[in-house]
Amino acid sequence: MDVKECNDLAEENQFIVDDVSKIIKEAIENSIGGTAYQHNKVNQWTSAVVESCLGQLTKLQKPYKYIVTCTIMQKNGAGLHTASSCFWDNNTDGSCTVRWENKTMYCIVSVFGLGI
Amino acid sequence: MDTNITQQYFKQRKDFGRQLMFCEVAPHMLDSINPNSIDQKQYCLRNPVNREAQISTSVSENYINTKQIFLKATGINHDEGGWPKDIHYDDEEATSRYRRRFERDDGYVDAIKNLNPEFEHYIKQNNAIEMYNMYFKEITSEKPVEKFSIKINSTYKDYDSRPVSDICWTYEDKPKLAVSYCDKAYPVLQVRNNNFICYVWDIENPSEPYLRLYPQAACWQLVSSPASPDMFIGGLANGKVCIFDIRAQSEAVQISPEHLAHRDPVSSLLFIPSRLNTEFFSGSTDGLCLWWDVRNISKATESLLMSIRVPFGETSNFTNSEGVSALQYDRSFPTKFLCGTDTGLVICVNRKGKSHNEIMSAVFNAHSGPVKAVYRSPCTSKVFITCGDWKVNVWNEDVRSSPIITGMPHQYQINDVVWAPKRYSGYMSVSSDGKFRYWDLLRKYQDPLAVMPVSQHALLKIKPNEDGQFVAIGDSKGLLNLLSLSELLVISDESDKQLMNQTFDRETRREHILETRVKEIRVKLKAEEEKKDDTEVDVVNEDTLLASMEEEYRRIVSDEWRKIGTTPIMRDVKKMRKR
Repeated sequence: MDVKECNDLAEENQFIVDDVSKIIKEAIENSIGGTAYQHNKVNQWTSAVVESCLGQLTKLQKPYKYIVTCTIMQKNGAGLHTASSCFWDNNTDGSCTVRWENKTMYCIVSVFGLGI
Repeated sequence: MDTNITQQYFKQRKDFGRQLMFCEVAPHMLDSINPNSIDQKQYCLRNPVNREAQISTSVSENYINTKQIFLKATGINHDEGGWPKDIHYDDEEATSRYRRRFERDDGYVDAIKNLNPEFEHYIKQNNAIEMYNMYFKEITSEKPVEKFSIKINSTYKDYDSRPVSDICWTYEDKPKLAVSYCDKAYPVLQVRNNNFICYVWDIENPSEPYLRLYPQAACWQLVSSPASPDMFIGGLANGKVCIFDIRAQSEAVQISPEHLAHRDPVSSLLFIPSRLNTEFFSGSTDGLCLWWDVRNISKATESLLMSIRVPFGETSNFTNSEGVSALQYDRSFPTKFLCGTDTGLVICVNRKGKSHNEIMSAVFNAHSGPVKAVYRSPCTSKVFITCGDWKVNVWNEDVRSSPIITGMPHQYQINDVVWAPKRYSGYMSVSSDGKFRYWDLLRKYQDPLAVMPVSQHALLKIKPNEDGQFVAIGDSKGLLNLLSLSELLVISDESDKQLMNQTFDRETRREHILETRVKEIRVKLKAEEEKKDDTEVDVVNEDTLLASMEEEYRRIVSDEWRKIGTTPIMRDVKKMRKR
C-alpha cells in the first residue's frame, strides 16, 4: 500500500507550480502583450487569457481539476488586495498566482489545481 | 468560452472512493497592489458625463434591385405588308384584284362582322382621348444650321503618273468613270506622251481599272455617249476624232481621216443631246469647230471657223481665227452654243445665222488667258460661268461688256469650274494649288463655302456626276480623286432658285446700267473731241519743248541742293553715313 501510495505520489500527481507559472505568463503575453488598457476590450482579454491558460493546462494531461481566475485592473492609482483560503489535500493540490503589469494596467491570474 | 477542451485520464478502480485527506490552508494573500497617487493624478473625475441612449427599433440597411430590363429605342418603319410575294403593293390593279378575290370568300362576311364591334370600340376610344398634341406651337421654327461635309471617297491612280486630261461619267445606272491621260504641253524637243492608254474605272474598285482603251495618239478629250454606255468618243492630240466601242474591241472602232479632221489637238468635245443621240461636235486650237455624225465619221457634217477679228475685206480663215479651248452646248438653246477661246474670249455662236456676223452673235472679253471652261447655269440658261487665268466670272448673255459677277482673283490658276448640277446657287472650282473649292453665291459671296485640299499637285479637271453627289477630280500626276458631297451641297433649298434668279437679275441690271452709262460718256467724249478738232491745231515745236523742260529740271534740282547745304557731293556722302 505504501509503495503504491509512494508511486501515486509521482510527478503526475503533483501540482508543479513552476510549470504552471510559466504557462500563465505565456498566456498573458500572447493575449495582452503590448496593448494599452481599453475598457471595451477587457472582456475579450480576460476570456482570452483564461482560455489559453486552461488549454495549456489540460495539455499537461494530468488528472487534475483546474480553476483559473483572471483580474485586469486599470492603473489609476487604486489599490487592490486579494487573498484566498482553501480546504484541500495538500499533497496533491496546489495553486499558483502570477501578476503581470504594463504601463496602463495590471493583470493577476490565479490557477488552482485539484487532484482527482 | 470554447468548450472544446477535453481531457482524458485513467483512474484505477482501486483508487476509487479513497478517503479524502482534507486539510485546511490558511488564507494567503494572492496579490496586493498599493494605491499610487502619481497614477491617480493622471485621472480626474468626469462630471458631467455625456451618454447617449436611443430607444428605437434597430434597422439595417439593405440594397436590393429588381431584375434588370434593358430597353432600347429604335424606330419602326411601318410599311404595308402581308401581301403575297408576287404582288407588288404599289401596283393598284394587282392589289385591288387580290382584295376582290378575298371579298368573295365565304368566311369574309363573318370575319368582318366579328371584328367590327372591337374595331369600333378602339376607334371610339382613340377619339375620346386627346392622343395627339401640338407641342411648341408658340415658338417659331428656327432655320436649320447648314452643316455640310466633303469626303474623299477613293483615289484612282495612274501607274505612269500622267496628268489627267479629261474625265467623263458614263450614262448608266451605276456610272463608271472614263479618264484620259496626257500632257497637254507643246512637245518641245521631245515627245511628251508615250503612253496613250485611257482607263475606264469602276467606282467600287480603285485598285484596277475596269477597262483599258487604246487610242492611236494621246487622247485630249473623252466623252461617253448618252445613248449607249459602251460607246466613247475620243479627241486625239493629232486632231483626229475616234470612236471606241468597248463591246467590240479596245482600240478605236472608227477614226476620222487625217485630212478632214483638225490640224491641232482636239481641245473640246461634246455630245449634242437629241432624240437619236448621234451628233457630236468638236473644237480645236486651230480655230475650227466640226460637227460629226456618229454613224460615219469619215467626214464632218458641218464646220465653222471661229474668227471674229476679221480684217475688212478678208474672209475668215485659219490665220485670223481664234483657237477653241472650251465648248458648251445646252439643250435649251438647240441652235446656239458657247465657245471659249485660247485668246480669252467667249463667243456665243448661233448656228442658224445667215451672215458670219450673225453667227458669231456675241463676243465676251472673258479672261487674259485661255478660257478653260464654260458652263451654262442649271438655274437660268442665260447665265454662264467661265474660268481662266486666276479668276472665275459669271456672265449674262445680254450684257456684253463685263461679267455680272466678277470672281475674286486667286493666287493660283483656276483650272476648271463647273456648276453644281442640282444646286442652283453652288459651283465648284479646282485650282493649281491642289485645292477643291465649293462656292455658294447666296451664302458667302467673297469666300468659298468649303475649301478642301485634295492633292498636292495641281488639279486639272473636275466632273460631277449627274446628280452632283459624287465629284471626280483629276490632277497633274494621274491621281483621280472621287469626292462625295453631303446632301446639303447637292440639293438646294426651295427658295434657292428664286433667290438665285433674283441675284442674277440684279447683277444683270447693274451691269446694264453701267454699260449704258459708259456708252453715254463715250458718246459725250467723242462729241467733245470732234468739237476740239475744229479749232486750231497748235504746232508743237518739240525742240523748244525739250529745252524748256531741261531748264526747269535743272532749276528745281539746284533749288533742292541749296536747301540741303553747300557742295552737293561730299556733304551728301557724310549725310548718308550719318543716316
